[in-house]
Amino acid sequence: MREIQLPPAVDWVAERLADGSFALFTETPDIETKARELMALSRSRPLKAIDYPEAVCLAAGLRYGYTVLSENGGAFFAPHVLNIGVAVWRAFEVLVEAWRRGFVQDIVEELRRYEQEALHLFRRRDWEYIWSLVGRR
Amino acid sequence: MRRRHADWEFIERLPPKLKAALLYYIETGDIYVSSRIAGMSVAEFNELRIKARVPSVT
Repeated sequence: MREIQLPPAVDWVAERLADGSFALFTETPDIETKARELMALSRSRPLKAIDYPEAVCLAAGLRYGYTVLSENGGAFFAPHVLNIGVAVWRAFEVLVEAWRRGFVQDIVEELRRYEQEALHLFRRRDWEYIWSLVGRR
Repeated sequence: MRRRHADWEFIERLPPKLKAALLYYIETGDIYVSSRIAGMSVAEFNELRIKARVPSVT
């Protein structure tokens, strides 16, 4: 919550908390222990180091079966490199899923808009995946 | 890629702490540690990153 400061995001989160669709999560000792294990493990493998906030999310995802949302490269590749059973989605996976469910009409346009607004560049491999889905260049 | 796209004139004009944080981000891509160097939240640092035209890639 400390990271969310701009009014649209604050309003959105406050409304979701009020209607019960969001809940505040406080890490428990077992989650904290697992998070520190994952941080240590990430430093012993060819993986970008995982910081504590991402490690807590990964530990909670593992414990409760949640999908973790993160743009952190260490967190994203952790399931593969550390062989842990947790799903990690970046904005890319979120937007593709939104398109699959019909919330986004033109996935190429949406991804390009996201790149411009967030100044976040999707990898060539991600774009190739999209081209394979929509079948156009 | 981050180094190539960055607005270096903007970065050079920043106070030392913010400049150091952006240089760290350009080198590592680690927004969490960069925001701590800058003394900002991750969201605030992300706004600074966009102003400095430094792209993120995951």
